[in-house]
Amino acid sequence: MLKYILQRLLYFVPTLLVISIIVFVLSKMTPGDPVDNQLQISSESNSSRISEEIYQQTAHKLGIDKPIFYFTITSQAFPKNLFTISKKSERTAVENLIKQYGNYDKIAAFQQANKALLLKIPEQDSLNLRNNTEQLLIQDDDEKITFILNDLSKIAQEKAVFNDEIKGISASYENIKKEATRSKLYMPTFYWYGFDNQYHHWIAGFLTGNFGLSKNGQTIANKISRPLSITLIMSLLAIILSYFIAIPIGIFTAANKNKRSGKWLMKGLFAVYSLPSFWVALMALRFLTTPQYGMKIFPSAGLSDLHTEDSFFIFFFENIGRLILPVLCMIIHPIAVIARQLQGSMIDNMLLDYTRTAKAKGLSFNKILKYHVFRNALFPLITLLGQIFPLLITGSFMVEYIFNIKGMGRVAFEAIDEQDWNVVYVVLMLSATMVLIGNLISDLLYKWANPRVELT
Amino acid sequence: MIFLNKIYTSAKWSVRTLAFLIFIALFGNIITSERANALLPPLIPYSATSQDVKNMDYISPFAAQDVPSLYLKHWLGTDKLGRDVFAGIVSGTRTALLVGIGGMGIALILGLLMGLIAGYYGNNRFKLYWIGLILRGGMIFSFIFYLTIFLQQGLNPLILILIFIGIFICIKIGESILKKWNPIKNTIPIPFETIIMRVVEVVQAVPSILWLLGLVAVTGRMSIIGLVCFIGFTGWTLIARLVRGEVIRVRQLEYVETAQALGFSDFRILIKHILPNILTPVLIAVSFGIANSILLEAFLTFSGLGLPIEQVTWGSLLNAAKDDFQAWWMVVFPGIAIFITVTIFNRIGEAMSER
Repeated sequence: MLKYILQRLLYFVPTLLVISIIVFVLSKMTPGDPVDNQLQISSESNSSRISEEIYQQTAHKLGIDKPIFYFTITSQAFPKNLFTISKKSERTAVENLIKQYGNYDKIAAFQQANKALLLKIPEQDSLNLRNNTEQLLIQDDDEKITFILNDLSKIAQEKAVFNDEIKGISASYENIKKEATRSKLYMPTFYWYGFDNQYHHWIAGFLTGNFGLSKNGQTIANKISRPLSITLIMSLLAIILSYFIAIPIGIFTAANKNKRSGKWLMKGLFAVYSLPSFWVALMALRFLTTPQYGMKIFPSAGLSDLHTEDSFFIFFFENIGRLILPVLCMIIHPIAVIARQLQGSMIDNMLLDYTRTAKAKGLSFNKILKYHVFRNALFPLITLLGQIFPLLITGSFMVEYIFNIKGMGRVAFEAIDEQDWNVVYVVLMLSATMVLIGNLISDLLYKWANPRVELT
Repeated sequence: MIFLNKIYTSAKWSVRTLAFLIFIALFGNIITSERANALLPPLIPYSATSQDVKNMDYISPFAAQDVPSLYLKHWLGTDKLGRDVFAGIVSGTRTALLVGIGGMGIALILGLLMGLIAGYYGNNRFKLYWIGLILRGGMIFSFIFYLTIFLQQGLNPLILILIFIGIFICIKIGESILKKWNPIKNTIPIPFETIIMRVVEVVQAVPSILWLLGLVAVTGRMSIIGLVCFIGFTGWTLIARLVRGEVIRVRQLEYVETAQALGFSDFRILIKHILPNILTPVLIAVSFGIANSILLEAFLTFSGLGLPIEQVTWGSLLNAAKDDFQAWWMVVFPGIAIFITVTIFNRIGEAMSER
């Protein structure tokens, strides 16, 4: 048994690692420049021009001046050290140019000529030269580049400034187009970057418990502890309540399957099963928490977090009334699932030989149900636990969204919206771990309920 | 045919309503339209996006409406911009069915493929020579490589197909040559089951809403096709698991062993002998899956994660109701539409599972 649990826990590791890689790489593909975002947060003066030096310092501090992963597989046209171009807008421009022409060395020469010109332009820039040159660095469209180059050379000829430089830039751009090596794009290559990469640093910190900081400077533990406990409490309450409510209903409908009451209850359960739970939550929010329709039974949505420094228990008891409706909305769907499953498996069991034997022995119907059928009908309920756990996490996300409760789902929504990746990683890994543990528990319970099952 | 007949007899009304919904989805543009067409006047004289300036700001179906005739009345009210809710519900049918059926279609194909491979070959029934393994690995790698180039850089599709065929021929020739003098005759089993089940676990471990949040963050905006692919991506795992279990059950039955003894190819056994016998539980899962996908689409669009809000779907109608707590008709009617559609698919799934 212990061996089995350890083995399963060991299996968690590769799964979680793969998830972490996918999520990390995904997060690096998001649009927007993390350095710019960071600088905008930290500096009050919203200066549009950030000096190269500050930019590189920030990039270094954020750790994004390294390759993303241990290796890449690209085509030969892409150089190994593309990541050394620290500015994201420039890097994308270079990437797009490579995709068009496939000759990195020429493109690099073009960019270098641009940068050399940029350094020579004086502070007093009345001719809009700086702006144009900066545009050249981040453009990848042939038409636009040609247009800017024409503009620049016109200025240079008229005012006789930087004539040579601008001619050089034009020539290097012509070079890119003339000596395009598109065939390189079809040759795969493999680049190995070693361990000094972003993912390695992140996962090493993550495994040692260093999750980094949230964007507003909070530690992740601080930011997540309360939402996590809210979600956990809601999910646990929902699991317990749904089983407690569903099991009697399931037994009742199975016992009265030929009577009118049982039949109608089954039809009702089927309808509930098809009810969109988020819609029920919306309706409840609208009709039961507002005075407009004269049915204000429950307190309005959201939790009071006036006293955030309170201990969790005080917080919980203060808000228990506000949690009732959300939890009710979470459990209606699981109740229908569990009750229908239980009814089905009980009816199946009632047709088996052992039930007939018990009947022949002279046991009462109630006793047969209670001691024989119910125990055997439990297995599907246990397997269901594994399914219901992720369902509840998702359900709790929906309910949190609608009732404006700051649980894990809400935190995830907001963190992704703000691109606060350190929070997102933790939320994701925690959810994944919870789902995996839920699966493991349901397997163990299955074994406990039915010793004949062999765990492999 | 007998199978379809059985569904029809035990879930008559669901099948009829489904046919009706599909009809609405196909001819929604004719049913709700501002302009009368040549054949017959539209049932609802508004399109989903047309704004009725005289009836703006949430007009209840029971309130006095500024309309010239009963034909032009907004039977289910209007939203803030004066758009007809009934027309919105009719045009939302198409999106809902497309997302549900299309998404589960992708999930069905992927799940069947993966589940059949995992269940039939298991961990050690598919063996390859070392050389064959390396060559095929190279082939799969180059397929993926050129496919990504194709997707990223707009490679000419003709060239792509030529490259694929070229690689395939090269690998085949190389294999036949190398096999003759290959001194290492050792074969190694390929653990298809472990690999596929690990992938399933990875996909299932993350709640689907979180997968979607990540996708939205990367791609920015969702389109219908994106949503369909997403539902296929998260839905195939369930089907693959189910198929694998069923294949393992069926694999050791005598008729499969007979087919193997007769020397039929694996492909033929899988498609002609195993697949028909496992299809029923799979279709049941697909039917329930369609219901769930429609729910998911509605929730996602409602919460602003799915399709753009400007696109009128059931979810976006619910979303539009958030601003005004008085506008009960914007919550009730789209919800009923969702409920009916979901019930139909659940009922059909149920009818299939009745023995």
